[in-house]
Amino acid sequence: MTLSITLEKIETTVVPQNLKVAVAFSGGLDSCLGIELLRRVYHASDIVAITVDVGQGDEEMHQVFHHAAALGITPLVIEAKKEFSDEWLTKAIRANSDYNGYPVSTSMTRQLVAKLVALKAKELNCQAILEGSTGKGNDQYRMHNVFKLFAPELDVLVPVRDFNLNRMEEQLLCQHWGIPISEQLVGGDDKTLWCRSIASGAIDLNQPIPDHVWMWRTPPIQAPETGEEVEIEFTSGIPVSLNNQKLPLDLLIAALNQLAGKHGIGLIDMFEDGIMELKSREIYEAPGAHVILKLHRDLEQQCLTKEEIQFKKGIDAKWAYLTYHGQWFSPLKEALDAFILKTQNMVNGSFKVRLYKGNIEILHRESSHSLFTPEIRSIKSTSFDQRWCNHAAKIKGLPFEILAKRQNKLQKGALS
Amino acid sequence: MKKVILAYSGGLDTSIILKWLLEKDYQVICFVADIGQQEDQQAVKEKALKIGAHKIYIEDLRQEFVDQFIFKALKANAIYEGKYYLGTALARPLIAKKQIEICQLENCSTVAHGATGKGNDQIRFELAYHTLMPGVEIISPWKDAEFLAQFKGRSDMIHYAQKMGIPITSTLQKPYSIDENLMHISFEGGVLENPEFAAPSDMFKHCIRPQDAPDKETEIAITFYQGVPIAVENFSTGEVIKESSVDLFTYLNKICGHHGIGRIDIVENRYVGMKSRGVYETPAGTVLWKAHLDLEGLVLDREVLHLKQMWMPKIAQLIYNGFWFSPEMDFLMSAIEKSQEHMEGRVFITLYKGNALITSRESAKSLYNQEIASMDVLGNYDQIDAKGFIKLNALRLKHFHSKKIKKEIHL
Repeated sequence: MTLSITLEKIETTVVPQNLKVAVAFSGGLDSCLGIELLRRVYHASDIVAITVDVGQGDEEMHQVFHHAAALGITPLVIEAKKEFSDEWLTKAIRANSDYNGYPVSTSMTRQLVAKLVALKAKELNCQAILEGSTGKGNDQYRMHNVFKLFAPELDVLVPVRDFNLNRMEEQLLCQHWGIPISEQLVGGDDKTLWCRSIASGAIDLNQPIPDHVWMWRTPPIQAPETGEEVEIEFTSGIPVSLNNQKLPLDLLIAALNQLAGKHGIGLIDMFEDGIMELKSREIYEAPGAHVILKLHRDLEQQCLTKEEIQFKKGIDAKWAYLTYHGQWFSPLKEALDAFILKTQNMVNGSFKVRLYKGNIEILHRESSHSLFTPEIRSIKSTSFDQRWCNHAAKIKGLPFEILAKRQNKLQKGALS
Repeated sequence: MKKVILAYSGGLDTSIILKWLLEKDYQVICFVADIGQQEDQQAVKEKALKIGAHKIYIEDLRQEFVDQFIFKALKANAIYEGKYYLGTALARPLIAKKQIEICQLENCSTVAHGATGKGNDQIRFELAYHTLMPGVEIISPWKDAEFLAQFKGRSDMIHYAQKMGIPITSTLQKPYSIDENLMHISFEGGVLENPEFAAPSDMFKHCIRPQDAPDKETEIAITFYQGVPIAVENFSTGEVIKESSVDLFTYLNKICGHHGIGRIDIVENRYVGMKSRGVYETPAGTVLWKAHLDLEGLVLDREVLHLKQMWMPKIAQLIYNGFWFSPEMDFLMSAIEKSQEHMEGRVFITLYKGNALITSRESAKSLYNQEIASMDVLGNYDQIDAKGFIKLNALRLKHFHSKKIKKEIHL
């Protein structure tokens, strides 16, 4: 693969010209290359770079400005940390967000970014939006759905798709045009408050993950020999205090990421079924989410009824599926949110847990809304007349008596 | 010479595609699936050969269609979005399967179809092609830029047909498109595209208007074995149809349509994301589905019945979307097959002016126990047992309510 072939491929591809284009600018390889392609190939009449801060951290925001300066642009920054934690993560926690093991994170931030970029692009009279998703991943679909909902009249430009580029070709182009890149691992890194995704779509089957890539996590073997006890309180399904200190959700998650990460918690190494129905190996780091979701589920188990729990499992799975598949703003997903929210009135209580070398051990539970009733259930109590159970068992067992009758009849029939 | 197997219907679209492929130097082998559409196969054959087809296969797939496709859907009670009996969706995978068999027989690697780029059928055909013959090459003219540029509208097609000497049949004047097979006739497009517009009364072919149906009712019984119908008795005429499932199905189409049963007019959600208006005639399907569901009430265990009910919409969706040949369909159908082991018995039905009224049913495998359920006889059921049953069910509710009174729980 030589540079000249790639350059020729770019020159011979027909792409829209002379548009005013808004760029969803993350400072990563794809969006930086996008800026250069807008200048050199799309010949954009005007470029508006928009960076949405969803809590990717100071280091990454610093890098955004550093790379932007190198490209000679000044991105417009939209602050969305509060919106992300208050409007998105609260819903995710209440829904036990879990897409086959992935606590859905980039799935959400991409749609939040797409909404804010689309609205800003319309406001500034742009004619197209450029975004830097890879052509093989999920984000292109998620962002497209949201762009088409909030700015249906704007064209969507995705350079890797438009020019059919692979990662090697992109790197060659960046070198050739002097575009800054600073990827630790091929495939990049997507940090959000809730969960960090590492080199999505670039990890091979048995490729080891080096220890230095972790942001929060200390591998269990290197974690402190003495664990640490932590207290967390939930109100209406949302964690509201950490070690008896009231904290807004974003700060609470940030603090838990540090705390739980230090004790080796939060690695996810899984096969994910993507939107295109292809499997990929994905590595995530989500210490805070691990602790919060484990405790939220435990608290639901204590406070919700059997029927609610059984039914909500299906609802939660559908919620995660829709969110993952770029349907955050769909009518169905919003209807599920309403159902889930209704169940959370009862989900109140507090925990003391021990974090120790990758384990989250629950030491103490308390809930004002508990349905746990040892005074009725315990085999030590004399709460109800157990002779009733004899009758109940007969009624519950009736279908089996009828099945036996049919069986007898059929056997007799077979003999005669 | 490049060779292609074309799924051919004899209509204007596939005739033009046939000619278009010939113009592009393909050797074209036509394949016509007989799935019960009432058509002159000889005329279709002559037309294809006259246009220039190298060879034509006409395959009678009616038996396989009924036994391996319709009856499987019946076992699952599959209905899409509560209304559509999947007549076209069930036929497509069978047509594709046979077309691929011919493709392999002819040592060919390319297939073509005339389904449009906006509908479900392209997906049903092509998913089946890819599954049954990985690596197959597909020519789908309605998704081909060159073809679309050449044929922008109906008039381009007629002009081309006239220029190329392709006979234009009367179906051209029909202001809607039709798909017919044993299971149903579907009408869509044209004047039906506006859902506010009532279907023209002369459109229907099998199901007469209930108002025009006979004033006299017909009593029938359908006998099922392992979930599929094996006999139909007509007590009004004394007829018994039981040898062949195709005859049975055809007979039911006739008598049920005659009594005005089976018209369906709906707006449905296509897999490609748009809503569309469809009008269907499914006389035999409507009555068979109803009878099957009734017999399941008598024979199936409650828990099995409820699980089947939950899965049904998923199965219908898989069939509708073209995933007949898929691991998830195999997985679900194996459970459905298992559920039908004991599904045998007779269902008695009165056909009358658009109604199929079930009057009674019987089964050697019934789980209904008259002695227990009866209001008159005591049977082996001690009603005092119900007291304990209710008390234990109430434990949870009582506790919940007492918490509510104590204001610990806000409802």
